[in-house]
Parts: sequence; structure tokens; C-alpha cells
Amino acid sequence: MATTAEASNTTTGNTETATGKMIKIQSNDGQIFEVDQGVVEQSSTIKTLSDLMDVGDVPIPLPNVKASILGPIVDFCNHHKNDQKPEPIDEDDDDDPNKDIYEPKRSDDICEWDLNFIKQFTVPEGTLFDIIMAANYLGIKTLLAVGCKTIANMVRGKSSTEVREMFNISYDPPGEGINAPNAIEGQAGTVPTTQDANATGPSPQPDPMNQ
Amino acid sequence: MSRTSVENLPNETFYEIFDYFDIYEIYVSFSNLNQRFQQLINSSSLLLKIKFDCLYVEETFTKNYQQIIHLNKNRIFSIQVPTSDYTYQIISSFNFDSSFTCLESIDFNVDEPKLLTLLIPKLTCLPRLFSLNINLESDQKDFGDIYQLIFKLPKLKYIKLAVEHSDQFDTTVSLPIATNQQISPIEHFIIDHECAFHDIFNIISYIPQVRHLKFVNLINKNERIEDIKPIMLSNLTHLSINADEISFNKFKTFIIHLNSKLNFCH
Repeated sequence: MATTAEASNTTTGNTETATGKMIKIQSNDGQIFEVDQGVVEQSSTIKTLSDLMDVGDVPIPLPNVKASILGPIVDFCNHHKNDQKPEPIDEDDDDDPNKDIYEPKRSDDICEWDLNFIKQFTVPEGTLFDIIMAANYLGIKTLLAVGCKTIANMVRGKSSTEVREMFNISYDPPGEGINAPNAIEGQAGTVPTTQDANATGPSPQPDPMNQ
Repeated sequence: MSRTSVENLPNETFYEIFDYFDIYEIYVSFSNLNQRFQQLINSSSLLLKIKFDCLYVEETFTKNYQQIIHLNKNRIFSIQVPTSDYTYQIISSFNFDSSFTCLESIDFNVDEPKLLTLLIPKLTCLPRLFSLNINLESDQKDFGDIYQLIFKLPKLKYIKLAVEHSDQFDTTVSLPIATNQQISPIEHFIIDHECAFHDIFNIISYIPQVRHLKFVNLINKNERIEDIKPIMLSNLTHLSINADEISFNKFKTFIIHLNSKLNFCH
């Protein structure tokens, strides 16, 4: 049964507010959130659906997002809806206009509010990946960037052995994938590893890139 | 109900995450995990950005970068060498050839002008080198030879040549006016060293397609601009000049001599 969450104070209808038309969105577990245009504009998926469909009072179904994730996403978008648009490129700038694509992006510039926001999502509970996947599905670039920067900051400076441990990344079965006898040799930029064909389960493998 | 894991993230999200790393960092943290990660980091969709760490450049380069570079020539997208200590060693070791089909940008520091005359010719074979950013720490006085080499790069769109402390030397750019065979495709040109009006007109004769022109340190050498042959820069829309002791009339004559349709002048 659908329930309505209080993303706004309005509980009925296709309401008009000071920030424009209110839209209803529904999580995959039936919870309904009402959001204004300031939130809709941040999600390319919701915006496209609301533009295409004459939704009226019918909630837009978001089958890939559960309420426990959609609620915080609405909070995130409400917090950021009045953010200033990125400044246009300074005409007097010395840098190549394409400099941003030539350099690795910065991941150390997450604002304090976003840092506190993302802290509520964790690796052991899987919620950090839930929020990133939801941001990707909903087309919320700012939230996706916060999630990816968070992962980048966790990974930076760590060996693949440590990354495997931190994220509990699976091994290929013995004799398959990168453990296949001739799988890695010749692959660009990698150093072959082999797993004991008699191994019964995942075990840490030597990683020449990290020795 | 199963918990979501990092392996549930779609490939496109991993590419977003990889955007925050230099290629060496990607290999250190994500190689040899499993087949999916191996395919991700070896995918032709992943363009490789190389940024040498100032602190560990020698160690990381000699130990690990060379193998990665050798096997990934056709995926290297950009190279940054932020320290001058090993620039020649590093850039030379790339053995540039036309198989660097994706390399669009090189940014390096160098402390010997002679190294530039050795390095820049190695770049002429690169089929997509659009952007070159050079920071020179030296007491070089004449940059004519260096500019001659730069203008031979066949695909270059952006160039910045910055020379540290150039105001401490009587800097010149000894260049003849360009012939039709010497025209460069450069569109975005930044000169960050001392330069006189006469030198400027010689330089811009090589870059008739320039749209964005900046002179960080234009100096007055008591030249008569009226005596300099005007040049048609029909694409020039942005001009930025930092100059002391240039009279308004001289500046006005300079602008008229450029024959351009400026939208922005700073």
C-alpha cells in the first residue's frame, strides 16, 4: 500500500506552490514523495518522465529506487536546489578550454554538507552503492559525483589487495576469468597471476603491481 | 535480502570513478581483481591520463609506468610531468610514433631550453596532439628556435609557453615572417614571457587561424609600430594583454594592425 512521505507539506493533488508545480514520485516499495520543480530539475530521469507524461496526480513510478534511498535523495536535491550554476569559463583564463578532460578530476572538493550526507551510507550495509546506483538511474549528476568521489577517496593509495578486502570483491573461480591458464598474458598493462587450480575458494593472491 | 556490493555498480559508474585517477593509480588499485575489472581497465573506452607524481616520479616511472605505457600507446590521452627533474628522461622514453592515436595533450616542465629543442621534434609524429603546455625554468634569451619547432607540430590547437623570471633577461623571439608553408593550425596561443611588439607580429604571422591570443608580459622597446607590417587575423575574437608603459596610441595602432573582429579585449 502506498504511503505519502512528507517531502513537502502538501499531501494531496497536483499542487502549485511558490516553487511551481509539485510532482509525485513513488519508490519501488510504494512510498510516495512530493517534490517541487527545484528537485525535478536536478534529475534528468524524473524531468524527462514528467515532461513526457501528463502525470497529473498520478505518482511517477521509480522501480529501481527504494524509499530508504529515495527519501535522502529528495533531501539532497532540496538542499541543492538553490545552488548557483557553475560559472562560465573565464575568457581571460590561460588554461586550455579542454583542460578538465585532460587531467584526472579532483576528488577532495566535496563540501561539508555533502560529506555529512554521504556518511550515512556505508559499504557494509551496501547503501553507499545503493545511493550511487540510484543517482545514476535518476540522472542526478551532482549526487553521482559525490558518490564517485567518495569511492575514489576510499580507494586512493590502496593496493588492489586492500581494495578487494575493503569492498569484498569476488575472485574469479579457479581456472576461469583471470585465473584461466592463458587469460592474462598479453593483456595490456597487467602482470600475470595464477590461482592454484586446486584451491577450494578465494584466497589472497600475490599482486605484482603492488609489491 | 542481499546487500548491494561494489560489483553491482554499472560499468559507466566505474569509468566515472576512474576519471578521478591517473592510470598508474588505476592499475595499482584495480588490476588483477577479477575478469570484470580486468576488462574495465583494458577497455578501449578507457582513455589513459598520465600524471607523474612529483615526489615519486623516478621510482614510479622506472618501476611501473614503462610497461603500462608500452602496452597502451593507443589509449594514452594526456601526459603531465609536473616536475622538471626527469622531463627529458620521461618524455624521451615514450618513443613517440603515430601509434599514439589518442594522445591529445602534453604538459611538462623543463629547465634546459636545449631539452626543448630535442623534445619538441619528437612530437611531430603524433596524429592528435592538440594541446601543449610548456613551463620553462631557464635564463634563455631567444625563443625563436623553440617557436619554430612548435609551429611545426601539425595538429596543435593550444599552446602555452611560460618562462619563469623572463623579465630578468632581455628576451627576444628571433623569427622571420612566416611563409605559406610554415603556417600553424594553432587557435589558442598564450605567451607567458617577455615579448616586444615586433616579435609579436612575427609570431602571429605563423598562426593566422588564432582565435584566442594572450600576451602575459608585453614590453615596450621603443619600436615604431607604424613600421610593422599589419597582419590579418580574421578569426581572432579574444585578445588579452598585460603590459606596462604602453601608451594608448601605441596600443590603438597595435589593435588596428591586427585586422581582427574582437569580441573580448582585456
